[in-house]
Amino acid sequence: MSAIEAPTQLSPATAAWRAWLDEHGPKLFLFAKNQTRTHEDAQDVLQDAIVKLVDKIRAGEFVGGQDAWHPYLYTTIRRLAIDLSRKDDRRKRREDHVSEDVQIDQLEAFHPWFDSEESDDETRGQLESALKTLPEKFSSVIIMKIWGDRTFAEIGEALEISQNTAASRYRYGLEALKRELASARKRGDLSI
Amino acid sequence: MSKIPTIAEQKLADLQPNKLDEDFMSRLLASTDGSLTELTDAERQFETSLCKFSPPKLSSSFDSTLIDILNNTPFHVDEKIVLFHKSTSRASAAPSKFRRFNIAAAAAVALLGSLAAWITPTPNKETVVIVPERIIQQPSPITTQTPSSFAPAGFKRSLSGTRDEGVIWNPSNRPHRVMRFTYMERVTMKNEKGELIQVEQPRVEYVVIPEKLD
Repeated sequence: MSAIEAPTQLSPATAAWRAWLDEHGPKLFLFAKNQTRTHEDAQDVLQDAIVKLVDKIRAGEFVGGQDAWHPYLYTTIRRLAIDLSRKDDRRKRREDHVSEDVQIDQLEAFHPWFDSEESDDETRGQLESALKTLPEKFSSVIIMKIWGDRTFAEIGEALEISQNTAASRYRYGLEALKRELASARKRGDLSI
Repeated sequence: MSKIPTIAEQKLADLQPNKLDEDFMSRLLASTDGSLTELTDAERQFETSLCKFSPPKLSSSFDSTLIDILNNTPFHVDEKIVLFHKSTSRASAAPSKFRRFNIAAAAAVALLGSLAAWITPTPNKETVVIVPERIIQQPSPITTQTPSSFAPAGFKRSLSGTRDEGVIWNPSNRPHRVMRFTYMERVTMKNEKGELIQVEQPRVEYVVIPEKLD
């Protein structure tokens, strides 16, 4: 089978999954990056979350249709990331990795969180840095709302908080983000 | 000794908790009237400015890994439509509709063939007229009859039911909706004596319509 023929021979389900992944994969992966410490951890967490979803669908145990996949995946990504973080903490207590965080920061620079025009690269960097600086409880709501297209109710469900709390965190998060970006905006470095 | 806690308690009781600041007060009020989840214009504007940045596509290697995981997993388009893979479920699910169509077509052809044989003249051979089960108007008793004495006198078709059979995919991966139409056909035949025989038979048609899926 040639490489050119391959796309036309996809089964309807595979073609549909590919289209779904093209649309939603980057959003879910961004959330996974927000919830984990490294690019690789984010990949592991997203992959495991999808495996869990697939297992449930294949077993006929998944309740709800396609609309229910997103809440399930966001919740699962978050839980898996928490589990991974606990394991990492235990491991760190056993081992002495002084320079690990520095190495991680250097590696993560090769995996930007956002696409941007070349002229906006500095803005993108500032935004990514500001988001990483925010407390996770704020940044996760912002990421789910803006780039995940989730409602406050859905965010609340995934993070196990009320929609009012989600809305409050979103507001505080936006304010904090504005403050983080304020100096750059004053310098004229940012276009937002 | 016994007065010390009392004095301490009194001093503590004199302390008053801080009043709620305006922002927090506004937030609490907004949460009671449901407006907390509504964004202001300024917040919307900032939100829009952030939207111009989008997360990058998944790397091809990671994308391939995920596709491998998703392979052989049915894709639920909605409550009614589930896409299957060629090699497994789809192979057994989709042809069943065609199998039903084939059975219906074969049955219709067989019935028409028998009807044709029944009304075709065969002068040298006496034929027993088998009265079909569905007779609307009972003719006078017929035992042995020459087919040539009956001739088609009327035909009527009425739609008795429709059913949405769901979506199928053709070999070029285009979705098509299959509609099943059930007709009742009634043939009236009359002989020289004016005797009538009416034969009813159901007829099923499958219509395949190109479907647009969002």
